[in-house]
Amino acid sequence: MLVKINSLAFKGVEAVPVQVEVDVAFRKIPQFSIVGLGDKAVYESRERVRAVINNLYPDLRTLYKVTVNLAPASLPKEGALYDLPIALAILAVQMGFEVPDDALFVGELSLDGALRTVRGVLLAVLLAIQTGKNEVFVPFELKLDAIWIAGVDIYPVRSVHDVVNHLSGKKRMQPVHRDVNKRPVFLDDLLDLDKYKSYLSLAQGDDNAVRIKGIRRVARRGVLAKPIVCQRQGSSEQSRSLLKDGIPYSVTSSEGVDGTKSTFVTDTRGSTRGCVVDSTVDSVKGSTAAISTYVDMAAVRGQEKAKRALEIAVAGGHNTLLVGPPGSGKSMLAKAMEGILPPLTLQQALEVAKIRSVSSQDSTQYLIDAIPPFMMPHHSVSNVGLLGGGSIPRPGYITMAHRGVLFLDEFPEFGRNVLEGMRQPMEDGSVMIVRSKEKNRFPARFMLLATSNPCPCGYLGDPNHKCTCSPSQIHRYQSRLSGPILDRIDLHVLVKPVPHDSLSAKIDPARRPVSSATMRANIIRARLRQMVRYTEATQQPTPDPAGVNMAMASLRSPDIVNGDVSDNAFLSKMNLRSSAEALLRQAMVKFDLSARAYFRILRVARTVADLEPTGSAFIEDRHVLEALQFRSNTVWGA
Amino acid sequence: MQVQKADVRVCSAACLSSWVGHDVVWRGDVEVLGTLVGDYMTRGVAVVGARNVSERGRVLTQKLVAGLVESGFGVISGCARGVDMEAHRKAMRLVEGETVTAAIIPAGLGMGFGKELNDGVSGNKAVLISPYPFEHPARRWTFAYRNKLIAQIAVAMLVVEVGVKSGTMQSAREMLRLGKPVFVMAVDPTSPTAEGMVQLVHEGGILVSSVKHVMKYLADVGFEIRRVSCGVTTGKTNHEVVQNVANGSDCVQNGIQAMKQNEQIAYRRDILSGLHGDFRRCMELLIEVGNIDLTSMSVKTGLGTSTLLQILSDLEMRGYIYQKMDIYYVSQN
Repeated sequence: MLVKINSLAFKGVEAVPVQVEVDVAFRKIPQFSIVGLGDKAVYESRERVRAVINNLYPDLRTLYKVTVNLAPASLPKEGALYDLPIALAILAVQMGFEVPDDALFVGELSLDGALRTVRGVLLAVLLAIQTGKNEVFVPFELKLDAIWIAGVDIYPVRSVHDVVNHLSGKKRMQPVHRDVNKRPVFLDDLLDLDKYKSYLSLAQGDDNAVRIKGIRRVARRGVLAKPIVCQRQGSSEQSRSLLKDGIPYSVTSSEGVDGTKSTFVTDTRGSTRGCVVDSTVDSVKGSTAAISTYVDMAAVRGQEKAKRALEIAVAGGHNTLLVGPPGSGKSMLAKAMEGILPPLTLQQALEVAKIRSVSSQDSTQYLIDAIPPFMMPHHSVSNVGLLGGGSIPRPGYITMAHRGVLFLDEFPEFGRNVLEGMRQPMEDGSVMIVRSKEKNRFPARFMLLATSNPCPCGYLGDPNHKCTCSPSQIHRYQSRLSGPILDRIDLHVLVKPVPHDSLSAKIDPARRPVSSATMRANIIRARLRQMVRYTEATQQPTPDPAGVNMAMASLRSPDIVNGDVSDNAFLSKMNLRSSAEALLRQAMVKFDLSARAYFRILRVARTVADLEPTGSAFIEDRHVLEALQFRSNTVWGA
Repeated sequence: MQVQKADVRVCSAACLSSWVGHDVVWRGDVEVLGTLVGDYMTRGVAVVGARNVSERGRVLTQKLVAGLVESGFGVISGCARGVDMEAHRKAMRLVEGETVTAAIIPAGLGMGFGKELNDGVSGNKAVLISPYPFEHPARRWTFAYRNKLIAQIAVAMLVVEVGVKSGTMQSAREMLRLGKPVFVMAVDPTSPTAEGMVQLVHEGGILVSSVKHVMKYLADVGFEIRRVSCGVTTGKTNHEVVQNVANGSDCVQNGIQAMKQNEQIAYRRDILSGLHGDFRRCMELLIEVGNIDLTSMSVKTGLGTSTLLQILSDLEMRGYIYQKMDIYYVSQN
């Protein structure tokens, strides 16, 4: 007898439908074979399945011949996710129940019939939506409700026995209750300005503004078991938190420089485990506070140029290099940058979620959230680790940082071939990994943030220290960053150590430094302007609260930032004033700029224009002038 | 060949109308020459230099001549192309009705040398001086003799650009032999005339970079620095200039520095006069402190980062400031 069950296989970061065809023939001699280009884990499936059936249903006949075909047969398959469909097929033949055609099954079996989680559950759900299935059976997991997307019923399976009972009608299972209200706010939602006015009004001095949910970030990182909920009523404040590892903690509050109230969660060992930043005023209903482990921009003293550079970089998705002596605050700035990243669009969030789902097995694989990824691999990372690879190619860090930030601290310390390998992905926004068994194209549209010292000893140009390097050492160090790589970096910023007196100086209340929240609101507005500009009228996002349409579409999302958008789209829509163009031409001669630098500066100038409080339709002289200050020869020249 | 206190023939306005027979005999005494052709020539300073003079040399010559004439010195030269002719012309433009320049020509007065100065001669501004009979042709040795004669007549010599084996070098050597000061104008060390400059300084020339140093020296050795109002004014009296230089130090180098500072102040004043509003504030701050980074600037001016970046970029484009390792400096003119 033949039973066909739907399942899936992974190809790169996409899922493709696979049909598990199982033929069961009752013979004198038992036999079990699996065909269809599976790896070792797939072939070991028969031992698990046989043991499970023997354990759960000892009274069933054991003399049968099983042939499993994983179709399409030419597609390589890996992993233990076919355990559940194979076992179900055999049981269906023996016990005589129907396996529905509109359902999709994945799961690894334990020998007692319990299911173990596998990677790519979210991809299974999305594939089910795309192929018009109604039900997905996946291993049980508490966090499954994080898949808030509608359009399909998700059944959490604790044991194969549950599914048998469900399909044979003995005991129906309940699908996971999912709440579309768990849907985070995406960038394209913010186009609906009336609804999210408070979101964007902070920079305009509207005190009713709120911060955007950063709660999930901490939760995801496992720092806190429960998100801290911070509500201000008058002066009283309640904070509740539990540290996951049960270590006692203390909560301290402090007044921030921009008038915000910060609460730090510190464990008994004195290390900060989390931080709640509350906005100054009574929050609008439904929103509370941002929790984060990142540094507030207002807490970074001095470094005005670098802060402005990061604001521009994030707003326009520009690759950025911070150069400075040790201790000048490069890494702190990078951490602060994490706090000003704008939310993703829904389409981008789905791309990110797919990548996360296919590359991780923990509970984060169910998340579809608006927080862009922030990846910071150590500089010992290998070529394969960064770019992706393996005999069946897996995504590397540049793909995990897709639509987010790839932070490479101590840039010149990375291996030469690792850095040079990033050249083509940075240009194309994807990386093609070709191996003997398979070739895959992984998306890799990230914003690069790199830091570097100016020389091996680190103190070149530092007013307080003497650089001890010889000119040839400096030259050798700086030449580790090849021209082609530096050419792909839009913003070059020198980070100088902040003098001690200004570190401890009291801040003039009239001139408070800009806080992360204000900066982020500016950035979001700039991003929205870019999105409207670069998205065709027909592609304008339509309201999609349940996310079904987007999941159905499964398109690669368009590039909507100045740093990434194609040359054609950029040049046709940048609106450059002729006086600004003349100015830039003049600057090319004066500062000896290359043709590529010319276009880089234009893109940065466009972002500067978008960052203006009311936006600027044209690139004016002042925008070009500001963009010129971030050219590369301000850092490496001389 | 030594220059004797020999007879020379002077062609002045009085004799130009009828060339023949007006040769005047002069016996090598500047006082006598002065009575003949005017007060300037009793204190004539030779301004000599290369025929193929650079543009810079040309401009420099004009400045030097102006400085000399304004201080009451005459200009003596050899009527050749280049520096010589530039000196004659400039001197003639500066004064009216007084003989301010003398051209020593290497042939008889009737051979057509110095025709370019005919206007000046008829306007009584220039004289032609020749040691030769009226129709004596020019020869190699007449040039050499002319060069030495210049040294005889002049009280000091300014060398603008000099080749190592040039006639100018001959003049200068004669000058040094007679114990009179030779001022060598500094040139760019990479220029082809640098070698001659160095040679001359080695042999006893005084390296100067401006007429003010010359004045200072001449004042020290006892010449009276007069103040003559000319068509061109410098805005400062020579007395002031001399005073400035003297106050700075006796050393010429200090003089150069003092002068550069003056020029810087004037240059920066010019820059500021063209700027307004925040641009001016930023530039004033930069001039005051010399160099500054963006953060301190933001603190001191109270301007936003974005605005400051725009202003600094603009000033950089205009060439008023430059940046190095993220610190902004005021450009030198």
